[in-house]
Amino acid sequence: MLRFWIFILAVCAPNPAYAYLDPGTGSMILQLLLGGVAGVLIIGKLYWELFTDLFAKRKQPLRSDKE
Amino acid sequence: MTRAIADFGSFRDPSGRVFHVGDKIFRTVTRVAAEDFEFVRASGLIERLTGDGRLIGSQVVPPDALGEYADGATYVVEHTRLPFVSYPYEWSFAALRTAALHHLDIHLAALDVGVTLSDASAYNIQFQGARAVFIDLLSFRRYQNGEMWSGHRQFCEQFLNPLLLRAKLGIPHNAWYRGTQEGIGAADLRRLLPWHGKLSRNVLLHVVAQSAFQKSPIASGSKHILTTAKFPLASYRRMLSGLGDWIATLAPADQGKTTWQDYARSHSYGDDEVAAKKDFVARFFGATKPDMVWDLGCNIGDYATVALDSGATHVVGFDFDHGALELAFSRALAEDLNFLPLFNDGANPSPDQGWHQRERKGLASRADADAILALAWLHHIAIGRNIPIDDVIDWLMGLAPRGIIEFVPKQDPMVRELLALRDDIFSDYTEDYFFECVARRGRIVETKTVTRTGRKLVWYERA
Repeated sequence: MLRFWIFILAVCAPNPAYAYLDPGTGSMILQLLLGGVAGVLIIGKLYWELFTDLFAKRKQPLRSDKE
Repeated sequence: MTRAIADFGSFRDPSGRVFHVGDKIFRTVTRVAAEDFEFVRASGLIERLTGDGRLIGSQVVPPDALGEYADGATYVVEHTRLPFVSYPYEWSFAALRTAALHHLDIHLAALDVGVTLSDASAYNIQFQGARAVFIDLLSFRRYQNGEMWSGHRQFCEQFLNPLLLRAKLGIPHNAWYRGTQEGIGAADLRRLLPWHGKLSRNVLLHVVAQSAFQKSPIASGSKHILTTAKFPLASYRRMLSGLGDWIATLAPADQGKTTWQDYARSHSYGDDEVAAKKDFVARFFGATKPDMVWDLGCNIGDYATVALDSGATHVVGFDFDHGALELAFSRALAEDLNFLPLFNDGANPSPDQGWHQRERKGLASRADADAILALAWLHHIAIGRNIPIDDVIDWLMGLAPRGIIEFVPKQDPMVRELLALRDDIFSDYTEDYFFECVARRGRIVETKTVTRTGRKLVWYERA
């Protein structure tokens, strides 16, 4: 059950606010999207990595608690 | 040689710089940009775009034309001089839309010959009459296969989003644009748009998605992927032409079915009075034949047209009525007039601003009119905005050595309307004092009463 709530927290966590990344990043990702299947797959991969990273990060403290 | 003065608006790009020598305009091309410049020249793009008036005229000249200022430059180019430099925060909606479409058109023409644009600054577009002309020769560079449109974000901020502000929300872009100088960011527009305003593929992509991706956590880890990813040329072209097709359909949300005729009928005097006014204006321009005229309170351009027909070469018009400006611009474009109507609040003209407060010139710094026309304008400033009449005349006559100023007396319905809900605190606003103010600064060549309510036109020659 605890893992379920961690998963929900991970999915619902708000986007971190970045003050300044690169003024063109939003435009470049959009162009990946408009550039065809390869670009869409890259964006899908980036989001998938983000999702798995978040999940992994949330999992870590749980293990250390058990230790 | 006459001293060269570096243009304060051209320092951002290390590819070169613009210099003014007397009334000539030169541009240097530095070593870093020379190879691209040679490629672009060899492509034939410059001749083609210059030939049909889409690109400012240019000619490579010997570097000694610029003397010591050509140091470090591989090439020196002399440009055709523009009659007037205007900024996007002074443009009407129709002018900004025309400029946006022009930018996309130039970019597509460039891609046809393996050339692209390094940025999408709205300041790279100027107007000759109401015709858009691209002025930055050094924005052209060789296209690298698979590269992305690096100017897309800037295009959205400087062209698209300001247009959407008016098209979706009915808010003119001018005040906001003048504040930021760089246009309107996607994130700000996204916050303002109602949910139903976002229900279009183009708004979703260029405003909502772009802004969301910019803030998305994937952005931070994707830089390597983004800098190496390929954007197919066909998609690039589709993106440019798709934006153009969409922008061409945008119209102000706050504009009803106003027509020139509605504006022409909205004045308070008869046809014979209009004819008398036009006759006086035509005689003035026939006699003085000025090169550049500033028409303050140009409305839909009726008197700008008279000026051009009677001997003036260029007219730049100013008005704060957005509806009138749209019509004036469309008219100038449709009739190919040497008339550029711009947004300007007479009581708050464009200031010197930007870096060092010299990057974008204020209206006073661009004042090189040979004549002014200020018809039905004085009372809006002197009564509508409480500016002392002596000050108003001082400012007006400082703009040009000669011109026509119309005095609208207090008994005229237009002034009565301005005073309808307020005290008449304008004891100085009299015909006698008006004449005194003009005569103090110059010679009154001719006057004429043009309406039954006592409106007077004054032709002055500054002392």
